Amino acid sequence: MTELFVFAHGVGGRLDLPLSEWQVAWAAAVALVFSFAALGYFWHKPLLKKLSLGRPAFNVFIKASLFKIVFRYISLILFLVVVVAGFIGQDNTVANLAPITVFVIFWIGIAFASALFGHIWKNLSPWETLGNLVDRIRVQGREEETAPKWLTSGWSALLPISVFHWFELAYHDGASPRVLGWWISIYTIGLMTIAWKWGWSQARKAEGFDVLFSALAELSPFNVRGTDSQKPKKIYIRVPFVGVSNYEMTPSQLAVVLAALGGTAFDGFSRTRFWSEIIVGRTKWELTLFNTIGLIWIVALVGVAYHLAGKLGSRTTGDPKFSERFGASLIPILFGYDLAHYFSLLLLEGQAFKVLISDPFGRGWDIFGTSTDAINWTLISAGAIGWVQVLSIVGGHLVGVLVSHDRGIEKFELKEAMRSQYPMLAVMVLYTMFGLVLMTG
Amino acid sequence: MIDEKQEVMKFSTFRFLAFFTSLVLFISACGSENNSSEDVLLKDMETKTEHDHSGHDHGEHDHSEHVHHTDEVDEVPDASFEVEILGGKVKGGLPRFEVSKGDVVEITVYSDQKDEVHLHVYDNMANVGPDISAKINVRATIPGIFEAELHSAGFRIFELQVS
Repeated sequence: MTELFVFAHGVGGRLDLPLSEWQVAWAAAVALVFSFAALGYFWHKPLLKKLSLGRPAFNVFIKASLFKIVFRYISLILFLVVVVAGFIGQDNTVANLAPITVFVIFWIGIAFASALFGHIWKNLSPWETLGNLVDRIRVQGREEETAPKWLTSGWSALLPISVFHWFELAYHDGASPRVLGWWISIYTIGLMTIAWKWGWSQARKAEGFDVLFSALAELSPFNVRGTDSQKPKKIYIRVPFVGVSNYEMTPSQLAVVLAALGGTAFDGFSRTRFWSEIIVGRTKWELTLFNTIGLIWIVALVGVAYHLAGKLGSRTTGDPKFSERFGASLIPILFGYDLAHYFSLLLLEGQAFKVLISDPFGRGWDIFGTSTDAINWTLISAGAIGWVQVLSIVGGHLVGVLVSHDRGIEKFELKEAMRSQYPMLAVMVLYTMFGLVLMTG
Repeated sequence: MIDEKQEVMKFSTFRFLAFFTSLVLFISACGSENNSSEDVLLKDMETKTEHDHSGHDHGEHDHSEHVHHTDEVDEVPDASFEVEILGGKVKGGLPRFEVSKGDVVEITVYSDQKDEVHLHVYDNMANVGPDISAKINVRATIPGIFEAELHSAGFRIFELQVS
């Protein structure tokens, strides 16, 4: 039976158990109390920015770049294998390497790894590798055209993220290997065309995944500073998560983070009983239509909520850049959402990667001797998954509140700083409660 | 001046480390009910689908007679459920069957159209049609919510919640 398996959420067929009501009630209470405590009892002088600088740990061995090159090429080879698998492998979501690599290893794995280890995507991204290659073979002598506004403003980064979400969460055939093969090819060709025309450093602004992973990387306890030529590069170690307090966002970066937050929220929403009763029995384009409307609706809800909070904040504080200033506090919330929704997917469904990588094109190969391995579906207990979910949502909220508080103190006088926190706290509490409600199924 | 700054940093670093350490301790305390991981071999769960289409021409629903076994679990089920698909719709809305971990579960699927039922992760498959009902027998060893769908029609017909 090699019919196409249809999945509701990229890859899957398994959902986490709903959280118990008392767990959610406690989580909500902790989040609320902490939010109010932030108004009265937190520090009155900026604190996190200093912390975010960290302490130098050790010099990066410049020759460690050999190491980097190895990873870069492994990543490039994997990328090419995945594209080829998408086109010539079995046309079956669970039996093909492409869907699991794109939706689990790349989308979730790189996001988590960025938050843990910092800016690793720049060293792994196949588009970065190819883009630099394009830069090298471009005609150097020709007159440099100035890149158009849609590219330099950074707003084009929103497109790949939105399209990705649509394929993952709305399009009924989005997890089909062939569709993924085409999608990756078109994206790659598009990026390289832009790189050819205006250079990779401009084209990178349209690489939405780089923008998103870079934002998450600011949470990392590791931070590399210094340049190769002037000061030697050094790794600085800092308290986890505080790095974002030093992160100035542009409106387009903010939009990318909000889009990712909205997409993840819809993923959670689409797993609720409410939504599954709406889409039950709907198939093909009818299903796509319903999910598209749902996706747009939830992303708009998340975006508009923040936009309104930003506007209100601008009005009460007179700071026209209020939204961007406090945008960094959304990054820990996004990471919390991500962990809550995808942690078990990476740990359980992610195991399929090691099985499929041994036989990437479905030809009966066994390159790494793992092609007949079984997936251990009880690697982590349902109870542990539930606790990770609650703690990551609440933890993301707590860090978000801390960062927002610190930013307010840094910019405004104490009284005004407190006033600046009302809209921010309101929108963060909204996201957190919404996130928790989604977890009850 | 610099000393003072560093001291502030040290102090606050300490405070933060304390905060996050306690958070981590909390997580580990709560997660300690980890089950010893029992390997569930996909292979073992693989279905032994028997295709038995031999001469049933009385088109009426005669569920008891045309039961179609997929995976043999030779035990009396702890829980049995039924779901009926009529005209491309699940009768009475999408059901979610709740069972406890370790239960032997039996789900019978009736459909007015020929198709194949697939319960994800447990990977049980069974043919179903106007003259044949699909019976899915599983021991619910993996916790979570699992979707079952009709392959050709491509929609969900029930969810199995194992907790």
